[in-house]
Amino acid sequence: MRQVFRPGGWPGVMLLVVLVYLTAAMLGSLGWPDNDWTRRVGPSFAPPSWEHWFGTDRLGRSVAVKAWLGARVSVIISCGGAALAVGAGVLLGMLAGWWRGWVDAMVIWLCTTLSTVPRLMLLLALALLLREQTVFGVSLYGAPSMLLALGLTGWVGTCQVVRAEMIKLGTLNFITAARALGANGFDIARRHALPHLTHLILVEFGLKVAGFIGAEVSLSFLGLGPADQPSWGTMLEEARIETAQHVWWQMTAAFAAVFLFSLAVHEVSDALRDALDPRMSPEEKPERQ
Amino acid sequence: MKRFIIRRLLAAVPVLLGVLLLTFALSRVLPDDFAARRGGEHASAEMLADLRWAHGLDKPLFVEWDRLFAGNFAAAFDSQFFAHCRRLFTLDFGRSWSALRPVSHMLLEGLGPSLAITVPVMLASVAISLVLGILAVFVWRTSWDRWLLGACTLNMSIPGVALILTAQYFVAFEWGWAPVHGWAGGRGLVLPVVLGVLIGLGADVRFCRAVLLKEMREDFMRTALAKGVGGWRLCAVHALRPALGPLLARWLPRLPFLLTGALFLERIFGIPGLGGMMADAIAARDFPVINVMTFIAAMLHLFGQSLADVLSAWMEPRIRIS
Amino acid sequence: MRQALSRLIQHAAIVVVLGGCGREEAVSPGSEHVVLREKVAGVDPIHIGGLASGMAAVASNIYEPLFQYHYLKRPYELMPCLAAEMPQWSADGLTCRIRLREDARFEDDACFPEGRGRALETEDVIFSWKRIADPRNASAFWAHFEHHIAGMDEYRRALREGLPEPAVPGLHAVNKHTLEIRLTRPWPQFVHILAHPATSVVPAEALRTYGADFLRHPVGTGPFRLHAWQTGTGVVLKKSPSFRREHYPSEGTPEDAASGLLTDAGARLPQVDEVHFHVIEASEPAWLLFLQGRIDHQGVPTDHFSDVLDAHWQLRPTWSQKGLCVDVFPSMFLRWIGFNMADPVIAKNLPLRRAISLAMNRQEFNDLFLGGRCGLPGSLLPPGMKEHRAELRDPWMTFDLARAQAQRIEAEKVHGGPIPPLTLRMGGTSPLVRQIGQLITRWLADAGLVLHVEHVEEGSMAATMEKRPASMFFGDGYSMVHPDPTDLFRRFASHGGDAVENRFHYQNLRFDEWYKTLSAMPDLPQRIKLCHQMEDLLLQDLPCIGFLSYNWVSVRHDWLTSFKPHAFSGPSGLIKYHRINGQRRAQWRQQPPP
Repeated sequence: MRQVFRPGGWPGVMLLVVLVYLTAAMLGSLGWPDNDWTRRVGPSFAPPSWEHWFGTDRLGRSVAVKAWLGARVSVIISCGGAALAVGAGVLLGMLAGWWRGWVDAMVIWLCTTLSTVPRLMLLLALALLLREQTVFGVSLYGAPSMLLALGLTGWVGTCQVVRAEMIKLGTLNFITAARALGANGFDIARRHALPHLTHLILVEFGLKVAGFIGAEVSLSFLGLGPADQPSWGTMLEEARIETAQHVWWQMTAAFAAVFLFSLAVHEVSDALRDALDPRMSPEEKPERQ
Repeated sequence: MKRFIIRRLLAAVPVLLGVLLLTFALSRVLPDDFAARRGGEHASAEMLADLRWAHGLDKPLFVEWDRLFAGNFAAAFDSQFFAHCRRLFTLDFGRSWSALRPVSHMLLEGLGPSLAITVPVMLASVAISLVLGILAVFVWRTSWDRWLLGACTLNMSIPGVALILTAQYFVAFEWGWAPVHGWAGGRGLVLPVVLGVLIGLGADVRFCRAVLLKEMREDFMRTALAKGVGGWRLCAVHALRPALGPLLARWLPRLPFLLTGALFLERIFGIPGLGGMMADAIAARDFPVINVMTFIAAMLHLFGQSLADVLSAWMEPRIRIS
Repeated sequence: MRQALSRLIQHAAIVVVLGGCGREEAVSPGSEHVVLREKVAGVDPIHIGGLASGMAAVASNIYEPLFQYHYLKRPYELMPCLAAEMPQWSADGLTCRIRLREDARFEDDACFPEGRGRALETEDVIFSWKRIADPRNASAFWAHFEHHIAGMDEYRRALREGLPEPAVPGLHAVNKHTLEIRLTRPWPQFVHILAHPATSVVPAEALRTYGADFLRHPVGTGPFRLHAWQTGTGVVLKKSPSFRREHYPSEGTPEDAASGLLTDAGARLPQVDEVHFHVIEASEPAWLLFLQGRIDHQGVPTDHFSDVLDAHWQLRPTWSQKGLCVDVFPSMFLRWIGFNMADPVIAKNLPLRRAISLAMNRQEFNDLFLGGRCGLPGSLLPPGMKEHRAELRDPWMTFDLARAQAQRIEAEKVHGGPIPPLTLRMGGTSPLVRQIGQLITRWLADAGLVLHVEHVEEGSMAATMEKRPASMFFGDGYSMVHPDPTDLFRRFASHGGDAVENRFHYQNLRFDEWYKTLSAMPDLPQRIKLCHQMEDLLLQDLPCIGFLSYNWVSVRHDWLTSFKPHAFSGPSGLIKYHRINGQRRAQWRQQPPP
């Protein structure tokens, strides 16, 4: 692993980029560089200059600050959503793969149904529904509803992969031996199966994060994005009207920010996959369906 | 073989029921007061009740329990859910709530523009991914392979929406090589189709490459090589056949893409197709349209998946037995 | 240079695009080309949403109601359309007799025997209005007729229960050309309602023949008839040969003669032969087509405002040299920020409401989002109404941060502590609306108040305000349906707590009393005085904040004449009065000026 991510190598650089973005998200939450992104820093639609690196938007706010702070929303939604999706997928996959029988049939039915409904429609409907709710006094408007929607619909792939692994594991000798020794389901799952799944979980997590970064942009573009914090998706949505006036800087800033982050996460998760599965040669690794 | 097909079709039934239930639940559970929206600001409570009645929204959601217990089965199942199912299966798609026109007419109108984009996109994507995948086999373990993979990753990292917006701005607006907007056939199709192919190409190429490379390492390939079968024939004929299974399983269930896949393209370029219709319907909470389109997309998906399974089973007898 | 080059290529691209679609390079000389900003699915009067909607724009040329507003006279005056004269009222104000024109005909259409249209009859009017009452049609216009016409509520209820259709005693056909209407209570503004396009007359034969497809086969009495419908792209109307004789008015406001609006006096209408509606939802392509001369008139997009007009709303010389003319007129469109008077923080705290009103930088909003075209209001009634007082300048309807802060301190004293965060609910989730919300948050922050903005879909505003009330709301605005203050004041009357449309939850017994008097009062001098009193009461109690006084700015090519923007006809105007100089247009397009 250390070999794969050595500094100076391409994956190492990409890992650094990811870390930069994560720091940006954290610093943004803490209020650096600008606590108040809504402040007017210049005239409306000022082009990029030394004073405003990426110019200003319609209300005179700094686009550079918005792009920086957009990392916060992106990280929260992609990592949070991925955690939820992978968690749910692992849980259900293990249940299905271990118990088989009707539990397995139910889970497969759920998987197939969710994957049959057009994904975008499902996401939109769920996000619109969740947006209006308040849970424990916290309104779900904006980022939380997107996170939940992505997490609750994105577990299907992970579930199928984990289920397949569990079925395979179930036939292995050491599991049969453990059963013969009287270990119950939970023990086997926890102590024997989970370590085998760890590399799978990590890889799935990486893939999901990469996918959700783009999904956040698409959903924000359709109007589901947060209104009280800047996000790259909402920046692109605003840019759509602005470009008619030849105002290209907000679009470019958001595009560059998303692209770099997405690329970095993709590369890191690829490298992770290469590192964690030394048994299979690279081209034999199952590709994302 | 026949038993396999029947088994496959039977397995699709509970999924279809699940889809119907899911779409119905989502559409009814969305926070929306249809009557208040249609009635406008001046509507009285009585008028709102009339509006709900006119659209069948005053019936119970699933089953009217008291009538069921009274033994009146016909009236007990006179609920929104059963009306929803019955309408879909009799192809009575009803009328759109926002456009007031029969949904079937709207579907027929949107079909042309959508297909004009999605069919070329799909054909081109399949063709290009296959060609590049085969090419990847040839350049495996050289630096060209790394460049190809890198390009694929780059492609996968650009969110579709961002690409469409940026391309529209620079190519159409600033440089004027293509029309910015509108459905005019011909010239207006070039940019959307090109963008549609580019989005998702990276993932497809990587997949083709992986599948083909996997097949290359099988024993039968070594045999073919020993027999003296040459490079191109080896890849295109011998490797492709078993690879077709996973490839079809990836592409056939994408049939719904033909209808609604170009959603962002249609939205941004202003093309009056089905994808844009779907997005408008969701924004306007136009449930008849949403339900019909989801149902059709789900049917297509199921059909595509079943077809892919049957074809794989036909080509790979081992699957039939398992 | 690069700019000019890219514009040139752009124009070329547009031309290629159009060359691929309409094949309309040769534009017929007597045709008018108009932009529709939203898709129109079909035309059915009872489903007309707002007067500015696409359907209203098309429908008002094919169908006609009983009355209409005078084209030129301001303030707006009613005059007969399908009626032969203004209605005769009985002494108690409950019965009204309307005589119909005898020369009004439905156009020739396949739904009539032998395809020949027939003369209009009283039964057609009754039929058309009964359609509004029919609950199966789910027409939103019913809200205007409800509880007003004798027997109509019972008619609706009977149909709802599934009983056979009863007769409506309140609509009585005295003979083939006279209609007698009986109301349940005095309602002098009823005639305004009869000028709304939703009450247009449709023939029963068309509905019988076309059924669900009636939307696409309109059959009306109007100056134009449907010629072609290209879904998603446009609608083409042609002059109707069976249109009755109607002439261009010969009197108007004093300024009309000077601006050349009376040159066509006495001419037979309609003056154009064809109308082409082009459906273009985005403003930029529409603007480009206008500049090419393919569209005859257009509202100026916000982005080009300062480009095209100077500070006094006059055309800059480069543009007037191209043969463009500008029309600025105050529209009957109101935008306000409403307070939820049932909210405990807002309701009892008048200084707080005043503070919020003083914190609104209306000019900044005007500049950022509207190109500076609107005016800052002094009162609630829009200009263009005869009850509008131009000299009134409400002291709380300006921008003054110092006074806003002072009022806030007052408010804190009244509240007994710092003001808790307020919620603003906004209708619309588009980026523009979000930016407006962010702007308002910034304004209130400058005055020391905390605001949370929530966005909901426009249509769900009323429903969400009921379920989860917010302290303030900002909807997409209200377009007055007819030039009478009751249309505005009805939103503030509480009717003893029963009013659905009173979203402010405002309850003032004195106001309710006055409203009741006003709605039954015919047109007398004391009526205007009563309106002023009611407006003053509203300005005092502040259940809402007046925001901007909306002006409509449109430019047209000089070959389109006799164009006077009309507040109750939508942006396309009343096309039957327009005149097109086809030769001049052909010349211009062949050799456009630089």
